[in-house]
Amino acid sequence: MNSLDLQDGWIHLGERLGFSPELMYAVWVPIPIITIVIAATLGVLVIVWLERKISAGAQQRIGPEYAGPLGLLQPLADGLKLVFKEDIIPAKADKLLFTLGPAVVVVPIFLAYLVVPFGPNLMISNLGIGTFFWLATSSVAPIGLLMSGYGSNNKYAFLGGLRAAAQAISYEIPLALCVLAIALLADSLRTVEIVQEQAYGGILGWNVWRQPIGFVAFLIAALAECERLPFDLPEAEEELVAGYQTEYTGMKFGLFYVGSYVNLLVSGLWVTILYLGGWHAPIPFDLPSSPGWEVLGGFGAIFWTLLKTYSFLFLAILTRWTLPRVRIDQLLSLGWKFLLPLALGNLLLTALLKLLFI
Amino acid sequence: MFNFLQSIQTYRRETTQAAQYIGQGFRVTFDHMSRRPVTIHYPYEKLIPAERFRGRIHFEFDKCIACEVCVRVCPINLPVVDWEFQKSIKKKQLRSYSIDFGVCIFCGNCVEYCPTNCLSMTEEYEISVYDRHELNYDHVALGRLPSSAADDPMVFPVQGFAYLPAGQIERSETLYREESADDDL
Repeated sequence: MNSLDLQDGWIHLGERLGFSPELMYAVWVPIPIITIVIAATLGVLVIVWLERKISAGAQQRIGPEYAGPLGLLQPLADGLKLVFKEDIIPAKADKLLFTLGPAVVVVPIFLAYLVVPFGPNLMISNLGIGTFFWLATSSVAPIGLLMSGYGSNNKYAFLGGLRAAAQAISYEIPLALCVLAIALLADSLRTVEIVQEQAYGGILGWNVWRQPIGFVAFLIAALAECERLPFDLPEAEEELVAGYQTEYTGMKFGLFYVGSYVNLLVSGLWVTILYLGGWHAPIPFDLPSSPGWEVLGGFGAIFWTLLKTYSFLFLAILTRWTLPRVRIDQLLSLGWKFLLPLALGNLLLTALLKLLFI
Repeated sequence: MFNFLQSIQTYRRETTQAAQYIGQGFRVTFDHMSRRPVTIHYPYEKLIPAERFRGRIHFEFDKCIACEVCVRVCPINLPVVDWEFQKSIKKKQLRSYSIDFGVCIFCGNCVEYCPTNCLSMTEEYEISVYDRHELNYDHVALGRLPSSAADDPMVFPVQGFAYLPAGQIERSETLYREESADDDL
């Protein structure tokens, strides 16, 4: 129904202006990537602002007020401060690991945006192993956390890094099992197909209704993957100062900061794609198939995706001020003894129903 | 076998209970979001303290009879009363009186027991200084009346909870200044 193809449009534009399709294609390649990186960073600014404002609301405070209207520029001010801070490497730290750590954490998180669809054709690459690609890249991040924790040569940082790795590994499994159940329903790991499969019947066609158990397990595991409260043990400030971030200042700390929020945003996007029908509106409607309407439909798709994503983020921020932090043993037993059997049972149930009815 | 089933049942019950408690917690957090903030923009907005607020102590030199009751009821004997016995009028005459607010705990005992009511509490709470010796107020400094935040045109006065009707916990939009203007008319 929707044939909005920006790449084709770009190449046709080049042909009309007298450039060869090959040249136009070479110029085209970096454009969506840069767009997505900028969009993700802007998304982080919005989340930071939302987080501060919603936190303020939950605690009956006012929140940022003076940096820009309603304090909208506050995250920008925070970021600028981090850029201009002195970059200190501790004297006895492992310099290579210490410097490499933040980059290893941030880059895979940005890679996950490669396969996130904002509309039928609004994505960087429609990989056949889409969701698996996300799971695979997001498992690289704990190595970076371990590197920075070990490289800091600080016991708090080391403990934080170990905790982060343990947490990421244990919650990856229920996460992957939930994704697997979805992949069974869609018969594909392709993100676009997973979303298209939820297109019929508006809000009732979404995977939330077919996978309620998986949805809850996925939400919990996603929160733990993002190291958000109540699972922010790796940086539990009361016990570990700031965990693996203890020795970092300036832009390296900024990378961790951006990384954690980009990860939160991408988790929200995945909740949207896997369970909340992606770019589809809650009430289905057909747009006339003329170019103008298709552009409007593209913006609508982005709007719905972001709306669902940010409602998940709202829930995550609300959780932060509702639930107290769990202990490390509680965290691991929740992951291994509750979420893992739950997700496994959900997968078996899905497979059974799939075999029986299809 | 039966034990196993029973433990599963217990586990299920505990899980649903935990989910219920988490739901209750979310309701509380969500409810707080719609409430008015309790913080105020301090230098631009100022809180009007409650009527019985125990702020900086005001002293009236002419009323004092130098009986030193304030010194005796003070937990740390803080007020310094310097007097001289005048034989001609057979009375003690006060020479100077001072209270060090760097040490005072604002308990209000002196105000409570003063037989001539020459001591009183004011609503002034901004008494920070750069040098702690400046906090030692003599009778001239103690005799100055504080200016109310409501009278300062640069400041937006905000009423504290004490001005609200009993049982109400949300600040009203009505301003102290508007109300006091109505009172004047």
